[in-house]
Amino acid sequence: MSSIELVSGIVQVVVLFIAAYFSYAIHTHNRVSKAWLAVSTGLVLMGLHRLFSLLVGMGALPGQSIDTANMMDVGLPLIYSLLLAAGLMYMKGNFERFEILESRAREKFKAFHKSRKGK
Amino acid sequence: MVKTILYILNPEKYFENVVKIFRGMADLHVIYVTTNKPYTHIMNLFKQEGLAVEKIFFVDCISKEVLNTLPAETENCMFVEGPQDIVGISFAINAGIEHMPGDKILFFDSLSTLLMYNDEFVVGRFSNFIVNKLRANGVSGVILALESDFEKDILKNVQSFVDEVIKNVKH
Repeated sequence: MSSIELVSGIVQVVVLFIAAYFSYAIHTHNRVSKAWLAVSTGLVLMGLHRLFSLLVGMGALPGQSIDTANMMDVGLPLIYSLLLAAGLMYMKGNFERFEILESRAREKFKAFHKSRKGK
Repeated sequence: MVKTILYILNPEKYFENVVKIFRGMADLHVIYVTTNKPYTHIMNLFKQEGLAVEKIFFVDCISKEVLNTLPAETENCMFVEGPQDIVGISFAINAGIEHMPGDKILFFDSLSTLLMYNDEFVVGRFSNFIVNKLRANGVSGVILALESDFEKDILKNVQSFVDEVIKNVKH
């Protein structure tokens, strides 16, 4: 593994874990949006996957079983892809709900205003 | 004068104090955010106390959470998912501040219930947002909290950015 690949790999792992941290911070900002937890988990798994690949590339994990390698290279990407897709899909619904909620609130108050004017 | 007051209430005389505070805002349109009692219950109690409810718009944050069958959403009420739905409550308050007619006041009942459903940090930030939103729009506000929460850091924090803190309502 060249030094560029090594540095790039380390940066990727660090950035992925930072992204996971920010994703979790968004969840704590508004706990209604539990979907962000799926995104955070997906990002953590992605970081772990990248870390595993980096360690294998560095020869730091000698003698790992084929099952482990398969799980890391086939199973894990599938899991985090699904988590990211599901989390973001749910969040899309949430943002749509916010939009609906905002316009509904506006309409309710306008209707209240109108009804009180007539009295 | 536009100001936001934090009332620290004794739980044993809670509703009595709410009524007392309410009598002082007879001519105002009120955005009543309830997090602990369904709006129908509050309306009935107010009617029993002889208070006019025509100028009150309720933002009911508890009925959806606790009732199997929601009461009809009338023109003077909107339901929010629950006290944990800070975004929903913020949208409702925001719309109320902008579209409620005439002189108005926000009545928030109460921070103590909100604290049962949310982190202190979230409630603190929400309170700061609301108080400054009111200030920016020239709207007065009343925020209620229980005596038992008075020593909590969050309440001390809120005390620092409201205009006045009243610990016991005079009878």
